[in-house]
Amino acid sequence: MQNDTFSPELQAILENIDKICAKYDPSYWRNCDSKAQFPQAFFEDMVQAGLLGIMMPPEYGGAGLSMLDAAMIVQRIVQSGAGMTGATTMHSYIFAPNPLLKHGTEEQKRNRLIPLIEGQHRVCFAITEPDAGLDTSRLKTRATRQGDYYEVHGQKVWPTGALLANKLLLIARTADQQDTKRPIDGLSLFYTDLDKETVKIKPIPKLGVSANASCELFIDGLKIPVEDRIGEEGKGFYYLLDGLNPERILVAAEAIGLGRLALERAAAYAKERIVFGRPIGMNQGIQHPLAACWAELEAAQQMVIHAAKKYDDGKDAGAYANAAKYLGAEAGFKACTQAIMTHGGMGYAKEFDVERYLREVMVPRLAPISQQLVLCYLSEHVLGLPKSY
Amino acid sequence: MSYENITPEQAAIIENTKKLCSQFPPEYWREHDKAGQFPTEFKDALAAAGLLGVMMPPEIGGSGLGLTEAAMIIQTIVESGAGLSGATVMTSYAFASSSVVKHGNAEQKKKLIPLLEGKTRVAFAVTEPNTGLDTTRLKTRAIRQGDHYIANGQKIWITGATLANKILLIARTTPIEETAGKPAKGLSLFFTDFDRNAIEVRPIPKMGTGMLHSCELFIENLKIPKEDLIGEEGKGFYYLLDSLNPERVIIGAEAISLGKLALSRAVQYAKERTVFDRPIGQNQGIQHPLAANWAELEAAQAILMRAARMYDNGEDAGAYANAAKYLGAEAGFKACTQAVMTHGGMGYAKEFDVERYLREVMLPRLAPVSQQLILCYLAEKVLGLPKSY
Repeated sequence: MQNDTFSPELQAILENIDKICAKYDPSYWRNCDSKAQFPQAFFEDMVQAGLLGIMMPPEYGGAGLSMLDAAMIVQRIVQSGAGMTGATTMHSYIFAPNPLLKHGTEEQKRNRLIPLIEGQHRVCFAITEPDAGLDTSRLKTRATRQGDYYEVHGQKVWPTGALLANKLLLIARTADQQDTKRPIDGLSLFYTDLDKETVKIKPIPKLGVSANASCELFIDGLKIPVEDRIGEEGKGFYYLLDGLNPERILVAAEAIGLGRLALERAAAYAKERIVFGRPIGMNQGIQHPLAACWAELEAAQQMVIHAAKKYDDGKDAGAYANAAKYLGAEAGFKACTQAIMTHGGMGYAKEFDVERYLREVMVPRLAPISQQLVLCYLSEHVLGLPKSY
Repeated sequence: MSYENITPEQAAIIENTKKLCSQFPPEYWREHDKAGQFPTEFKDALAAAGLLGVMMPPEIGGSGLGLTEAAMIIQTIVESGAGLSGATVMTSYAFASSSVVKHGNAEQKKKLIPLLEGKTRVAFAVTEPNTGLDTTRLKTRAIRQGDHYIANGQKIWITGATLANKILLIARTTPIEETAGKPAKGLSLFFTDFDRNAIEVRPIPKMGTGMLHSCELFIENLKIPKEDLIGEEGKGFYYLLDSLNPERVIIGAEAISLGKLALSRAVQYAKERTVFDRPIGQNQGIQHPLAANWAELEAAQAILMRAARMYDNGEDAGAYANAAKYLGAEAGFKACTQAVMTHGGMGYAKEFDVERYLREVMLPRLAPVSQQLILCYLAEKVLGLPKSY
């Protein structure tokens, strides 16, 4: 169904991914989803295949691959049937440790990146807060320096995988907001042990991807040794900015992968299902919306490839990364919705999986940033319109 | 929903329904949805208030109201926060047995009394897995043997079958090849005991309304006394046709109200949620889609009330009933989707309920007939276009 042409190296990697993912059939994912059970066997295979560190340099155990490679790999995993349930087991590992690589000391990199890529460190990434929302500069969680450690109090929301994590990548305020020039100035980044005595974890019941619990963290007196701080104090927010474009590109690739998966299932059903003496796919009312989904997914895919190449070439990928996330999430959502509509009543049954795809495809529409704020970005930075908020 | 030109009686019915529903807060529905547990207390409250038989004649304990009033009650239930799950509790009683009222004899009608009192439950068994929307091709077979029939076959999407003690079953009493090219002719309707020794019930895991089990039925040698045949043998399909328009009006009403409910939650959140120092609802990117939802829901509502009025006046309501189901399901779907998008990441959390509304609103798009077949109906019967399939 797809026409992507890749380098022989990437082609070989993707074929290997297909081989690994083939071990996990739709019932595996359906089962993980309905029991809210982490796909441990799959995750171990991902670690084994070195996929947690695909963009990290080889000296720390990474594969040193490009943004384009990473996006296509994650997309292939989603498209195998794993969906967002599969992708979210490793998605954050690809870009979130970037600040560690760029701003960490040699010792921090050795002691942290290597075990992270080898899967010994299970990390949860704690950025978002309930009262700050997308206004990330307003983060309130406070880390107060006391001699050779920091003491942290505050609250985080949505960290995925916190229940199983033993490490925490945390952003917290180290200077009061009134003492800084800009609200984003007083934030610092830490990579530290997730101490379950001082960090209480509460899973958030949610629409989809229940196999990978997203949580609220209540941090009360967490002690972080000074050597667990990444880079300089007060620069944490700027370090995170490096990861924004890669994250948007990955999310877009995942949404498209999910849309393609849904479309494949819908097309297969439309060919097989006979009503009124012929396959339902013979009806234009069924086939035209699916054809439109294909066209929209392919257009979004071009945007992902374009954005990834810009990033890999060291150019500013902001506009295209944002456009890819917007278009990918919209096209993916439409395809997943249409897949249900194509299945008729059976689309409502878990057995046919398309209902899960619809629940999962809402994630790329809502995260890591809303579609509305992506459009605000494009309005301001591409079209030069005045800031609206 | 605010209604135009309503009578004092209608206003009183709406007020009473509101009062009843206010005893069941959002948590009640959230918990039952999560646990997949039938809302018995709500059903009992409906029974006590006489709401299970709104359109049934007074002689069997009904209140003999019109479709317009039934739609108002249903909409009030949905909008209270009960959603489609709450409404389905009522519809599964209030409408499923209308063919017994119209075509059954006095003895058979008497058997409806405990149903309207909420003491018995009926499963309405029409759809089959291998015929889909081509209802005339139904294969479940009932063969007359002396003073009873023996039924064998399979049914799908039978809501409430896990709790039912009565079944309203349509089955073929004349083989399809003996119907002279009119396959609808050999079908008969039975209202009989739900014998669990002869009917195996398997709930279908599904996307939403999990508190009301939708089931597959495997019927093996179900013995049906001949007194349980409704009306004449071979006329069952035609009896069902009477209920199609009311069913579409009701499902349209549910979808619109679910959209209204989602919209009210979205508006409330948009007013309260402050990001970048102002309520998010101050952004046009947030408020315009919600305003469009309101307009679309109101338009669908106008068509809906017209369809209900036509039905109550004994006019042919086909075109408007179908249009109401189509428009209502689309407008409801868009509003529920937009409510999730308005909530941002919190829209994904079960705590805010809008994710449940989105899961539920898929049903009116898929049932009782697909949107595609509604459009086929309008294309043929209203626009006079040739049949396309």
